[in-house]
Amino acid sequence: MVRMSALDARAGAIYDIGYQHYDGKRLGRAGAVRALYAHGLRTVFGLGRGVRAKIAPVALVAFVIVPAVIQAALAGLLGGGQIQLFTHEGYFRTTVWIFGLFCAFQTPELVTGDQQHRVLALYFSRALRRPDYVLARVGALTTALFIVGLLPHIVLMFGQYFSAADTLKAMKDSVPQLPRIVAAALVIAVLLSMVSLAIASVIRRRPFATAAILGALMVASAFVTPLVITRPDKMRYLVLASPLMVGDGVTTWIFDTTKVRAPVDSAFFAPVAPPPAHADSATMARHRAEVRRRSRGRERMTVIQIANLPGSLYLGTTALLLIVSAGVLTLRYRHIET
Amino acid sequence: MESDTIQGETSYLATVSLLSTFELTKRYPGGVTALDGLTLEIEPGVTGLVGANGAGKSTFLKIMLGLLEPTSGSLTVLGIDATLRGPELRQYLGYIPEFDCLPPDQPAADFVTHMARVSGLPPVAARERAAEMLRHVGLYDERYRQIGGYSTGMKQRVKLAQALVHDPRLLLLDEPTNGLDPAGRTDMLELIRRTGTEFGISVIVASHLLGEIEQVCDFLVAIEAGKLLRAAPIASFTRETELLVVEVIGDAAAFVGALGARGLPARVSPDGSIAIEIDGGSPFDTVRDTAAESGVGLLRLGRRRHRLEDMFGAPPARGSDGTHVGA
Repeated sequence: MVRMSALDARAGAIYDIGYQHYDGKRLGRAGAVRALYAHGLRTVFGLGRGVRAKIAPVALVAFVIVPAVIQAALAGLLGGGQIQLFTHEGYFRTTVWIFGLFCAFQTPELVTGDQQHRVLALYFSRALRRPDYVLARVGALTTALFIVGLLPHIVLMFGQYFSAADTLKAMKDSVPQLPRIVAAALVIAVLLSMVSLAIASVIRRRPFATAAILGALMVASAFVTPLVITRPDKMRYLVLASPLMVGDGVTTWIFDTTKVRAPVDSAFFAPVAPPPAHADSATMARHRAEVRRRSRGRERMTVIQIANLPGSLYLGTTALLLIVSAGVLTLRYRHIET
Repeated sequence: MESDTIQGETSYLATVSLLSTFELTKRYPGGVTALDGLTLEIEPGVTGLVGANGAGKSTFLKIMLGLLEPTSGSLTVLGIDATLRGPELRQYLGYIPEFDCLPPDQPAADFVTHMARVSGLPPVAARERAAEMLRHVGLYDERYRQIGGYSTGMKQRVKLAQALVHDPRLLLLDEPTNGLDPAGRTDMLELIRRTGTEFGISVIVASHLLGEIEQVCDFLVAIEAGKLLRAAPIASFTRETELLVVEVIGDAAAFVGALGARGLPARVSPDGSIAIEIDGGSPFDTVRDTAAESGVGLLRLGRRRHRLEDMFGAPPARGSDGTHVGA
């Protein structure tokens, strides 16, 4: 606090008023962790940084929200119930890759710089403990993903409310959906933030951290999807190798536990028996029709349905990924050199 | 200098303890012993922690901060056990590492404010004190520029500002003049001196540059290979270290022998000059007479303060970095 006497002010010069001791409140460890959390949340969205740091988060948040806004606008223009591009569940599935990109670009912002520029030495010599730092960073990214995850669904809901003939009834109808939306957004937020932070924490340079997260989230699901679709009988367990698909599985299960499984029996996914060597044309036609029927059937199914695994497997894999990530983060920051 | 004075002097220190250690030992997993049974007390004021590179200074500072756990022994800083109540203690500590530790993509004002908050200050106080500290270190006009664009000297001052922003009781500095040009060193040393005197904050500054440390410290703690070499007020170092330096033409060895016979301990330095310990009194006449008797010609005769290195048995100054107190 700069205090000047009237005389000093009149003189118009800056006087060195000497060092002032601080006698106010000290908020200790709780205050330190809160500050680090709030700072992290701002950092994820590029706030308090230059314009360049804002490009990626703003663009990705826009990508997530714009389709919902379009649907809400169309519903408003054309009347409720006419247009439904997305269900809530479908929206999660359609946009989950954007969350993958968001993690790949923003997680390194949160932790890699602290290691690269050795700011950790300053943090760890402050009023907190090492696990507090991890908690604040995980909390910040999880909160960010959770907010971004919920926003489009709020837009979708209000679009429905205002375009519905009976707004009150629309509101009442949407109530059962609310806990599901919150739960799905929360699971995706926690899962992706823990996995991304665990990966970023062990990589020293930003571009490599981004590449590694892209690999673990995006590339993994890009590889897994076609394999599962083409050979579901053999490759279906591969969906568990992609955190994005695991998130998709949990989301599917949260919205409708029956939709995790395929709407057909497992024989459907077995290869169609080849026709006998000298089959007549009628048999060949039946064979071709059967192949077509199955491929059309799969087109109507989600990858999760084609994989046809029980919901408990997705929940278990989620728990496993969280435990492993928490272990990596804890060990990494316990032993990191400052 | 002999090591026979080492043991006694720790008890000289005043009873008000800023920091006290007992048998503090740190062994790294690789088998390196950084601190070896260090027992000492440091009283409030500006204390220099000196020793060669690798003597254990940085390790000692990190243990004070609770950044490293000691292998054995205990350490109390500001009356608080550093290993048990780290976060509480660190509210009252400021720390400047020897390496770069600043994010380049933030303005200094934002960063220092953030660090104040991570030290437990409420938002408004954090902002005010950040601006005030940046003014104290002379960066007020540049405080909204990104740190990445700062010079080494400016970065060092940001490091000082972030270490003082929460008004610590004790400031720990690790090689604070590393990488600075002569003008930057002078500025930094002046800021450290002001921190100790005007700001009334105790300072422990680790350095291998004794000449610099001597300018700002009231106390010196010398460690070598993790062991305490000596802890004493700086005045006692300088009092004891008065030397008479003589250069002669002729048989220097015989001259030294003759001086010894007259009760003046002397030895020939590597550079050929003869250093005579002065234990009070004025031996100028004796030296002149001895020179005449030994038949050597006196080239130069003058007082000099002992280089602190000599006392610690460290290798002599390597030359022209201009930081050593010398002839």
